[in-house]
Amino acid sequence: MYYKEILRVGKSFVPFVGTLAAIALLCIAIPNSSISLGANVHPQIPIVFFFIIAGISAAILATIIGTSLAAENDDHLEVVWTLPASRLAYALRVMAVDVLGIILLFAFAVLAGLAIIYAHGFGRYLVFDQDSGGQLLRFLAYPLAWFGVSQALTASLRSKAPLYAGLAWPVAIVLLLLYEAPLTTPLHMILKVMNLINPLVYGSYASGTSVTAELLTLNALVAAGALLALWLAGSGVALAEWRRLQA
Amino acid sequence: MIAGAGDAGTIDIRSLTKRYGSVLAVDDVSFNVPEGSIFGLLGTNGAGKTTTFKCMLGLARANSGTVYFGGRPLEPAMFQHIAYVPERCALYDWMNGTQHLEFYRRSYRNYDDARARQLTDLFHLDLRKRVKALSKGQQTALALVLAFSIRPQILVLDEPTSGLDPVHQRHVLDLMISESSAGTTILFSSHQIGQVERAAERIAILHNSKLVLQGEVEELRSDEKIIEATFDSDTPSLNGIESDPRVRLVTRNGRLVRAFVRRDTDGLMKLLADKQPRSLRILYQNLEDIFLSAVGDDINAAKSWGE
Repeated sequence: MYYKEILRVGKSFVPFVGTLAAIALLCIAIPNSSISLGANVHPQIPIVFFFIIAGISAAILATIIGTSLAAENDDHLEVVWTLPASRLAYALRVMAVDVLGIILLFAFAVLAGLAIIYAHGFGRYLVFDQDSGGQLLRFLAYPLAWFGVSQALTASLRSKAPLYAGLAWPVAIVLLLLYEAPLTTPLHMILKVMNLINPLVYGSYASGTSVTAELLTLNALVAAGALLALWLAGSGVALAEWRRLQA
Repeated sequence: MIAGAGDAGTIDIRSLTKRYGSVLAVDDVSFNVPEGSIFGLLGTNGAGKTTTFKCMLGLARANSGTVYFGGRPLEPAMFQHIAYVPERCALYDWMNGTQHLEFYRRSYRNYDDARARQLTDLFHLDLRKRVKALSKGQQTALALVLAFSIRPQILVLDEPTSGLDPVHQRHVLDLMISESSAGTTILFSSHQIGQVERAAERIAILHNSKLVLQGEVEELRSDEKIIEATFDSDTPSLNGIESDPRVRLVTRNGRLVRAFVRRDTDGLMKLLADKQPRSLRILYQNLEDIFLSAVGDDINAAKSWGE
């Protein structure tokens, strides 16, 4: 029953994995003699760095495959709605395979990063601390939140869905940047509320002096919870739209 | 099975109505398709055929009315036994034929691989090609192969020969007749009146969203007749004839008058004879005549029928 969905996700997944693998191989091929870890006698490589890279890579994939319901709405409803499955069951199946693809890409990206580190013999510099588990959850939830946002924005669209999903990134960046702007209090409040559903807020760091720091300096587990909530809420909105569609 | 033995393949549509905003797409349509029969749904472009199919199959929400398959309302599990081929190709451009067959094999319990291969050969389909590389006719053929391969109890085909060459059109009709003789219920629409006449046992005609005529093809042929009168000079006044409830339509072409009549021709013959025509005769209608008389003397209708 998952055959077509695996083929579909594979179409997007394979180029991503190929690109990450190529980058990893290039990095591994760099001679150790040309790599400098700085003057520090005890260099540190935080594991979180790889979670962030993996989270961003998977978030880009999530934005692309987050248009999966819209793709079905683009001339294929006569096929998928005459399969022996309810609309809801079918959509959940589609989303389940999408999410599996996102998680696999995240895992691949983390492993590729670690492979580079260990290939160069820098494994001993990796830093795992008590926050690492929370950060893993946070950056794993990050692409899922983008997936939810992408689905919610596009589930009732057709061929324009990739455009809308793609625009979500610049809109999210602008929303975050506007929060820094010297605006009136009401506008600032509106931006604050709008940024509550902005995944960038929960997947970014900021220094303590930044105006946006009040938005961004969240505990990893709180951020992970917010991102997971965005994923579930976005998926819920998408499912509601999907069930309302007509061929 | 959709339902218990005896009526598993029946389709019963009652008072189906569908609006798109202020546009009435299907207006109080009711008909019944008996199990194992071939039922042709005819109509001009925009008459409501595709919308009727979509509402029937739950692809669009009807505003009112009911649809029963084997005496039960539609539920997703029934699609194990119902196949639909839409007029417009709904297959996946990026998948090839083999992948579509595999997709169906994994989705339908009754999928018959041998049947799929046999039909693939019949339509000379290259399964290695992606759908986007297939012609419209080949896409239709692939959709038909998939539909017939799941061994459905009910087949709903919207313009199933669209884009096919005459040889493959014939194959489709033969397949429909063969499946029907094996007990499959087939509901189809077509613009090709010859095909409908050849395959369908019963028809319904939709016009301007309403069902204007339905019945068994043979019965309609025997009931529906044309009285053709030729006059020496201009056609006399036909008052009383045009408004007669037995007359479906009167057409005039110079001195030639044709009255499309249902059942009682004798009374109308007498009325026309009183107008002293040079000649007067009864013609038996073919399905095209029946269709044209049902949709009225609408030049646009006639044009779209020919498209």
